[in-house]
Amino acid sequence: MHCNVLIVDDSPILRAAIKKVVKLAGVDSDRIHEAGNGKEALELLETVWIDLVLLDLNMPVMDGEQFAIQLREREELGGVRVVIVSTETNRDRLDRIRALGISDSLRKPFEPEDLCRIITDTMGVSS
Amino acid sequence: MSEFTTELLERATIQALERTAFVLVDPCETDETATPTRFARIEFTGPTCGSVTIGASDGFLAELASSLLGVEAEEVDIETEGLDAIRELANILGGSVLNDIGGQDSTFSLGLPELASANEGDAGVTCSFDCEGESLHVTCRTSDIGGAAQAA
Repeated sequence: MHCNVLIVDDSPILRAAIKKVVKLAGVDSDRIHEAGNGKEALELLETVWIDLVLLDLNMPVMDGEQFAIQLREREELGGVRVVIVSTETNRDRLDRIRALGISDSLRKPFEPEDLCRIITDTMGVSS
Repeated sequence: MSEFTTELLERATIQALERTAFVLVDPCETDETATPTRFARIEFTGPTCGSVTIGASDGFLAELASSLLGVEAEEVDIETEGLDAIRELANILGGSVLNDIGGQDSTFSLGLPELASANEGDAGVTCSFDCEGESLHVTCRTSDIGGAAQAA
């Protein structure tokens, strides 16, 4: 699958686990990027074109909601698709974030097959 | 808001481990397995406030981290990867607990998981698991479920 994926999560071990699933979805290793919080993710987006962001919400420094708000304020990054991968259960917060044009969401713990399906569906690729 | 019981906590823990890391555990009595040496806690606020605390043996954390990373347990660095794994397990279980007690209209807010020095005692809903002799203990405390553990 020819797309660049950015995994944003403050847990290195969860990023590694998600990376394995992204590879299973058919994305080459050198197209998978990582960031430990929203600030790092925005900095990376200034230098690398990203097609899909897999975004945790509860993170230190800059959380996923603030990242999504700032991402949508940048017209040049309007084509970046975002999928929430988080433990978040607060309905008001999830509604606020979905209103920012989030493509999909997946609650942890998730089945690897579900994340694979969301990646392929979001990127318009049949699995 | 739903009543939270030992059965719910057991189910949430088993599901989190199976889905996230393909790690299988069996519910057991607290004193049947190795003593937990590492702890992590996540707090939440909302209609009630509380926390979820995880206690685990090094062997269990090696198993959990190795499954997440796709490496052998002997290759796991407990001080970095093992502790990251227990923090993330607390995060995932905290979210599962709030989903169980808050339902579709949850108004709870989850904090960030942190390492803890030890468990805080036995008050609250508690369950223990065996993973080939290694131990995992999970405790959920809220302002109003202290009696639920005894009832369950």
